[in-house]
Amino acid sequence: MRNFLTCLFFLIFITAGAQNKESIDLQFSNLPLKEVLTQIESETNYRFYFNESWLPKQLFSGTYNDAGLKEILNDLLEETLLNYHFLDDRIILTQNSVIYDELPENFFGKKEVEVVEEEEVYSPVFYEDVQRPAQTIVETVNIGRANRSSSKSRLQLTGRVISAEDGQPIPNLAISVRNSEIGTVTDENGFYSLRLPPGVNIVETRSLGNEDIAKRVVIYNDGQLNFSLKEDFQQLGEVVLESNPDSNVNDAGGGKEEINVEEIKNIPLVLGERDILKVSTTLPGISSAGEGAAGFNVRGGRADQNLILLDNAVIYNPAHFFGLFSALNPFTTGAVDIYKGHMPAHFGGRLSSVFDIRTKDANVNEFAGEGAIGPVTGNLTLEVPVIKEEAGLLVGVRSTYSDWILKSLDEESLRDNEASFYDVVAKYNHRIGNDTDLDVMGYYSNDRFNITPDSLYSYSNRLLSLDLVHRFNNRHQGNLQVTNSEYKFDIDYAGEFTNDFRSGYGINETGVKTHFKYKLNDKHRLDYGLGAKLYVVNPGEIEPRGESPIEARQVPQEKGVEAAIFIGDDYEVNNKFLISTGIRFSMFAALGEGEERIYQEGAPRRESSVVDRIQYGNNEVIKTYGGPEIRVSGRYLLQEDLSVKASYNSTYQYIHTLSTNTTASPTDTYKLSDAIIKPQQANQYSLGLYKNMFNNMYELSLEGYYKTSNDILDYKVGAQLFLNETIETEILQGKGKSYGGEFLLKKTKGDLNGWLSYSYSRSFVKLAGEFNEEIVNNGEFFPSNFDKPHDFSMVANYKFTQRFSLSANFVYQTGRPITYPVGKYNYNGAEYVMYSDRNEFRIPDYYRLDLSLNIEGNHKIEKLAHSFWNISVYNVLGRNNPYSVFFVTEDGEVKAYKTSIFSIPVPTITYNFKF
Amino acid sequence: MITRLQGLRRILGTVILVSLFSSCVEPIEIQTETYENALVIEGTITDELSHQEILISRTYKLGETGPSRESNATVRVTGNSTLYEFIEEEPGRYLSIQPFRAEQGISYTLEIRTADGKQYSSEPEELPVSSNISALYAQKTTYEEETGVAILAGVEVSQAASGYYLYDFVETYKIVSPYQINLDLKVIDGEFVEVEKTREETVCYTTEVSKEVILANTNAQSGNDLEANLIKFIPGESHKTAHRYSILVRQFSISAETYSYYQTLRDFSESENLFSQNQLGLINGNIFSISDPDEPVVGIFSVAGVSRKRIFFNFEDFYDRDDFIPNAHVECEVLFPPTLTRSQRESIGEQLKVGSLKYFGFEMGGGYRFAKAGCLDCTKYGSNIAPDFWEE
Repeated sequence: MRNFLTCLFFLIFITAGAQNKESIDLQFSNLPLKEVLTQIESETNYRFYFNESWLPKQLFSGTYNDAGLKEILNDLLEETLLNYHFLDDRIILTQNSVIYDELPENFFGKKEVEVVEEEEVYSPVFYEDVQRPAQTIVETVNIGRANRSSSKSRLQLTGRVISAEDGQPIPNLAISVRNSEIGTVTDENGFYSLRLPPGVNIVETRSLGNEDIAKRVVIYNDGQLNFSLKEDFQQLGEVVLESNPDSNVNDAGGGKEEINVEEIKNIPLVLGERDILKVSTTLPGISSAGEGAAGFNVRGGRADQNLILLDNAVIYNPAHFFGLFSALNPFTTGAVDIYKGHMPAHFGGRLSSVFDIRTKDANVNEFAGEGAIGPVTGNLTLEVPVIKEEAGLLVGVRSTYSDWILKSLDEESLRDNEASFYDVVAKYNHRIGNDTDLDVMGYYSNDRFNITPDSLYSYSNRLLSLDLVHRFNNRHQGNLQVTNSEYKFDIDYAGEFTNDFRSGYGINETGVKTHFKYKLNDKHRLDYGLGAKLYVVNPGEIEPRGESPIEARQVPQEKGVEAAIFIGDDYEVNNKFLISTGIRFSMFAALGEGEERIYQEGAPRRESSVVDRIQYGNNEVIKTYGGPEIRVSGRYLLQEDLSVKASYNSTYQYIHTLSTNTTASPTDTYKLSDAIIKPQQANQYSLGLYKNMFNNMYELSLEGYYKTSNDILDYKVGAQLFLNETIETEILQGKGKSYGGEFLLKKTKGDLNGWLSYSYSRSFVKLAGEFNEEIVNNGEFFPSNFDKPHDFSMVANYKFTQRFSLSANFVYQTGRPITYPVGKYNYNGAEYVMYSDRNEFRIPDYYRLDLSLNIEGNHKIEKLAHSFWNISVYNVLGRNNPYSVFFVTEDGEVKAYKTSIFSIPVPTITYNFKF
Repeated sequence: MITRLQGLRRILGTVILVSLFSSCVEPIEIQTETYENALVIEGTITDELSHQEILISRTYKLGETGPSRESNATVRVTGNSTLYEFIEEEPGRYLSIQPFRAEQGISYTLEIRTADGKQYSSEPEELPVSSNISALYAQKTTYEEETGVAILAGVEVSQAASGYYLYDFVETYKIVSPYQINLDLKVIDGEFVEVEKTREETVCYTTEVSKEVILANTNAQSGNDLEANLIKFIPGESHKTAHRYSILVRQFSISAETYSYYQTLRDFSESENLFSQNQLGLINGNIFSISDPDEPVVGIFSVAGVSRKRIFFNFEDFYDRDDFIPNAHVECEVLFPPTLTRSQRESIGEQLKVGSLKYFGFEMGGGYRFAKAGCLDCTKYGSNIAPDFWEE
């Protein structure tokens, strides 16, 4: 790898050198630098790249005849903090830094940022702004402009220290450099002077009566740095917001995954749909039951044990088209954090994981848009500034045109059909003053499908969320979240003889949550707050359509309140040991109006064994549950880039999916805990080793976990759940157990990037009730429906030129368990198969390779839009991966079938544009 | 009808995929991964005075064909203090020695001791309040995009009725041989000899029993009356309705548990939705092994009230023969086998004798014509004697 990189740098060097000789005539007087640069651009083939805010305000004049570009730039930038660098036909301006064409000898070590103490002739400063040691957060300042010829061993840093309150100089203030002997004291006018080695120095002030401040000074050349200190007895560190490449090693919590949407845009797609949730299944510990199956299984948990949040609002069914596509618009999604191990105390309500998905902020400065045209959907996202620099609105719409495809088919039986989906997301972000942010988000997704003319299915998610963040001061921040989510499905049936009806299900939850973050001191950061949610469930209703004799019926509404109070503390015991503790006390109350059925003791729960019915009035408490949830995680740095983390987490879940399917389906319903159905509870222990290598270019993690759960839901064989008023007669509650080891190696930078992930994991269920109908597999632990021990994924992306890149995605998984017949028998005049123990067999192993070629349009500024083509081939190997094997009785005889979703390579082309 | 809808849901999943994606459902060879030997009991005691019937068999391997009858079992049903003993009428089929009928308010329990000495018992079952078929009728309609005749049953339900119904049927229909000729051919001393047919081979009656699980319930009804339960749909092209058709429908008023058993049996044996699969498992009936409580037992013992009705109709009642010709019950083509040599004639004579070939006349210039026996002899498919109940 190192050789390879060197090679690339070498190539760049060659090309830069070759084009360097050009000379031009140029004349300008009293022009801003930007215009001078524009003039150079017009005279040459070069293009300048820079951040406008870096350009100095001063005006420039000059006359050059047949002068080298280098000479001109040297003169121009002499008095500025800017450096320049040639890269092909581009000239990149940088502030402070010089871009070096080659790397120093020790670049691929961890220690390249160390201050060079010895006298050295050539000691370039390499400093990455985003990288910092973990201990404290300090502001970074860059001093001086690097100079190629500079070879000084000591640089002069001078400045003045004044009081922030009155501007008066602060005399006799100690200024020192951390971990070194260098230090000085301000004179009576507040002036100081230090001689620093080039590179990174942590300059600290120390006094009584003023705050102590530390700044990371990256010094390139002699320069100035002034301090303005507040009168304060407390230390006030500034919070620096920056992406943190060390988080893999340094965060206290293990088992956290981050997916950045920008980074996944090259990953091959199914039918052209970029899908952030699908990508998550390539990470260890996260899987789905099968290709095209909705729902995710995190560390051996059922699909309903994931808290999937879009801007803090729960999204109940984040899938379109059963599960082939996710319902999250890829263009409006900013990032996803997935907590599969340690779950911060402010999250709760589900056992296995949190998918914290955030919509990106709208551009508040200029109008922007993005779109895509694929074979299944069209997608358009617009960002509209509402108040410049303050407020913006983002709107994203995605819709299928499969409906249109169906209608244009010649096949008559398909023409009347409908199969479509769309989703809309809108987010308004407003920065009110410096300390307050307001985000308002609305989301709606809808799926409709109708294949036989007599039934129409539809389901929809609707979310509303309001998020108000206020910084009280530098140490204290508060957050108020108000959310509402609704999930509904409808079935419209208009048959020939049977009675026409419409039936439906709906769940609605409204939540309020406050979340405060308080930095007590350097050692302690507190998180605290409380939240409450009101659930209203319409478990099922049916009503006649037309002159149908169907009786309108509604399963009585369910209501419940879930509340929680939480406090967490990130305690830095010392430089190496960070402990994140949290406790969440959650409680749930099932509320009336409702009926509690008492079943006969010693008999299986059946409608016939109801001995008493207790009625509860509106909002009367039927039953309460609650308990503490412990969230503890600790990190110990073995080395600066190597850490070990351990955690224990316990969780409660008061809402359950009802499903008789082995995989998630849009007609699954959700049920609240009640007098009989207890909340689910889980404990997870995990231990991990994390290592970053080569300047965080590689991230390596190795984690193991053991998880137990109680009262997880399952169902009697052949349970009928929809429109069932005595659902408890069909439900079993049992134990779960899962464990596994996860390996992840990520290469985050470079032309070749991606990750390898492997997990070995097992997941078991035990259903050992009192009666035969409540016992599965003799009451022993048996593999869950998604127990897939070996799971290997590789995602790789290789950028071979600026415009072309190639991506590959390879997946291998053990086949999932299925219940296979153990014999046949004759009954009621026909043959049937007998099933016995659950999940005793497995379908064949699954593997798939996808490839995609990405072509970026050229980057000419005049072009209206930047474009991006993605040509993908899904399942290149044409592997006919069985999705299921099933047995049916046809004309009295048993026949076996195998299904697969994509059995041949599926090519797609998607066009993306951005303006 | 909720259950019918689930059936549609499954079809739907399949169709979506086939139409939009490259997915597929393909038949595969059934492989015997393992075999578990279990006793299968099918027993319904009805409120009709008759020799009640209990069927006992065993499961057999997936790759084999059954059934595997269970003989030499001791079978009895107790109703309160009365004991009804059964004897094995034919392998695996046990009939009560005395005819009896199930009565209201009495708990019936099935007890079985198999030849290997294992004992089985059912939970006690009672006769649910039953209802009669109010109407059985045929109606021309379009169902799943096909035109045909639907056989529909209505139920007249009393207030107290259980509201759960299981149906079976026996259909009998007239078939007419596509080719008709009054002569047979024999080979005597190597030569063809025409002889007069001695029996009816043109018009026969075929009887078939239902193989589907047909269920209905009044759960979702505003009134208790079920007006139109689809029992069977016969497409217009079907040979069954090509002439005259009769169906006898039996309605069993069953308990909710029995209904649920059959419903699960049906759900598990229907085509699946590609994306969501039923959680399969052993369907729990009400029969358990006394000797070994963990031993799986297949089947359910039920007590049911029976109501039966029969209807007849002709092709012309619904269709016009000028519009289309229904399919024949057999596909025919005329054969001209070589008959020049004696051995060729004797070979044909042999086929005529065993009944695989039938004589279809002599054509000048063409020679002896033959056809598959079924084309001329309807007794290959049914009886040439009209059943007792048959009405023209």
